[in-house]
Amino acid sequence: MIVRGKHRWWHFFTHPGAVLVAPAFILYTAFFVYPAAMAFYVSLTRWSGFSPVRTFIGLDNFRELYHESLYWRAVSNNFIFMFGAGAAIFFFALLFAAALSNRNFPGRRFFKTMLFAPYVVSIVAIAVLWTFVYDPNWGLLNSMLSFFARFLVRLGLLSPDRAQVGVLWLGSWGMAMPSLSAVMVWAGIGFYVILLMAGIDRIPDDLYEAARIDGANEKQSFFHITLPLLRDVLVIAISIHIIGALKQFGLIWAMTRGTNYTHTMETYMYDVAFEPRTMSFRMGYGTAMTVVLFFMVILLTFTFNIIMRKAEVEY
Amino acid sequence: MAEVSIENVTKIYPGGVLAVKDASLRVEDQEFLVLVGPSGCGKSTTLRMVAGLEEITEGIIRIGDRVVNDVPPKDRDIAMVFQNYALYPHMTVYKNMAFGLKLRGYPKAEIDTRVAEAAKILGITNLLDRKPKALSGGQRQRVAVGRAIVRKPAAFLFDEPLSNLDAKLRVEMRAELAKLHHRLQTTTIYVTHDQVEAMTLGDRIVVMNDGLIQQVAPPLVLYDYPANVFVAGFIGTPPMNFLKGSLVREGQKAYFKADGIKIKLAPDLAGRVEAHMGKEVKFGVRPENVMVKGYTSLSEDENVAASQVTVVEPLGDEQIVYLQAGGQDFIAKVDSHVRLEVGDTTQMVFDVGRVHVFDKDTGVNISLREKAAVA
Repeated sequence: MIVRGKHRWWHFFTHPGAVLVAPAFILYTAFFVYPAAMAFYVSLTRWSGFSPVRTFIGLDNFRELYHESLYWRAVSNNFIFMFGAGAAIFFFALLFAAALSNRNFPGRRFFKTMLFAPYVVSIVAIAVLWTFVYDPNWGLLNSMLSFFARFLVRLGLLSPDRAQVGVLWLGSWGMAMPSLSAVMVWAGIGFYVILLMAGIDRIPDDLYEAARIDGANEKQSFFHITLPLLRDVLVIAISIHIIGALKQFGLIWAMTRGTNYTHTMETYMYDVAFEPRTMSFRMGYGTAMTVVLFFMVILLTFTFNIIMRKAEVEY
Repeated sequence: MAEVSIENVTKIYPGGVLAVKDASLRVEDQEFLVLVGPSGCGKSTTLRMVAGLEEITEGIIRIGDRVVNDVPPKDRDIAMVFQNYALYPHMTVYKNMAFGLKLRGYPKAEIDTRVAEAAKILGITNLLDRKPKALSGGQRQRVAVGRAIVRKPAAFLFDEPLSNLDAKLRVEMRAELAKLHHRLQTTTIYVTHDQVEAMTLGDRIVVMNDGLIQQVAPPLVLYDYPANVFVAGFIGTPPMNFLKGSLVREGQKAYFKADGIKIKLAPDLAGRVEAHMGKEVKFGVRPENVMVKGYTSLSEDENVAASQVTVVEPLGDEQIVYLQAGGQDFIAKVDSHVRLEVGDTTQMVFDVGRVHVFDKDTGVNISLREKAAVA
């Protein structure tokens, strides 16, 4: 018998199905809801993280954050990764996806595998690898540049005193940000290529044939057919990228530890809250950063989805 | 407006699949030519080669006076309507129709005029702001046709344009396409697997099978004078009956003889099949030319076979009767007022004026009067 009546929230607990979702519900509450709720409270306190003393200080942490330039540098770095690396990722991902979707593309499977390979490697391993590449003294990049420079010297195109190459790829903010962005693009692009290729594969072939007869060349087909029809896939892909860029930690931490002002919100927060090196141990202050981050992620993805919201494509 | 000619065209797909073999066709200016055949017979491939969507392995295709073998689709001055409509889902009806003109750099005013004109012809003026997903199947098909006619191309290519519509709508759209062609008088090549569409729309019909053109002829010529067993069996519903037996001469008279069936051949027919006398043949007779004794004006003393009724399918105005005589099955289409029950034995009369004799091995119609009817 179906009992008709108003649904109250506690009916959830009396419903027979409650037993089935209970384990997941309990674990989710214990390991996600409770810590997340606690974070909001901790952000309003002064606390070392291990001391029993936790002093409630209201919005002081947030006030301090607002005035701290290093924090703003970290925030702006996140956004540089979001837009800079993002632009490169989506430019190249679209290019590769469009090229590799063509069944006649030579070496299609090889390139797909090569592009996707970095995605299955741990980000720390990638960081170590690229630290070697970027090493100013014996790194691969400088060695190659030196080799090229010596070649130019031999040809008489470069004076020998300028042939020493010692670029500090991670040595300053200006060099490190593009260098780190390049690694992000290299490591992340495969995922987006696969995602976009799946989107392109979904577009019926006869649309392209109709476009060819209508007079479109390859480029026009891409801009008038492929791109508009990839809209929903792109919305998802860009949302994933936005969230990823706002959570940038592993790569930065493993490659620079946030020095030379390459901090992101996450590495800076870790420095402030946990890092023994800095002896800061300001759990409340660090947590305040995560609370800000939480709202940033929600706000950005929400805004982006509203901007891009349009009726889903149906064939 | 233009002629389209296909000269000795062969298409072999990578992997060695032979889709079209040595096809030659000439589509006259303003003609409505229908390519018909079962799935995989090469009809769509032929059309797509004319469109430029498939490369030609061998041969020459001309549109107008120009050889278009290496001309890209957009420069062939053709427009195509696809089976699945292939409307751009993100564009409105107006934009779908205007897309080709826009890419070709037509001025906005000209595009507006042409789209409005085409929309009026097709009765879709009120749909111009809608997206394809908000349209019914029939409306989508009209838009697809509209997209083709705004371009005013030299030739229209239709690739099974009605097969995604339900039966009733298909009949309506069929009539509209006929009307449209009458109005625009544009050379049209139309692919279908539906022989009724082929018969009703085509000025001429090309029947294809296994990549080979079987016959090219106007609809009624195709029906009355099929070149071979395949064409005879493909055109017409229910299909032509084929009886196995042999030709025999008894005195001055020639007969087709099978177990329990003996049909006297008309003298002129007997003359044409003289070379096969004494040999086994396939004897073709359409269901409407098999009649029930007592319900026909034909002389009923000859060409009668005692037949047993196995199935009766009443269709209202007529009935399809499945019969068996001498161990061979055949079908008769008779008036629905003739009372027949399953299990009855009835005398069936064959109209010898309208029978065909086919070579048993090659399938060629050896009873044809005019060889000219065969491509």
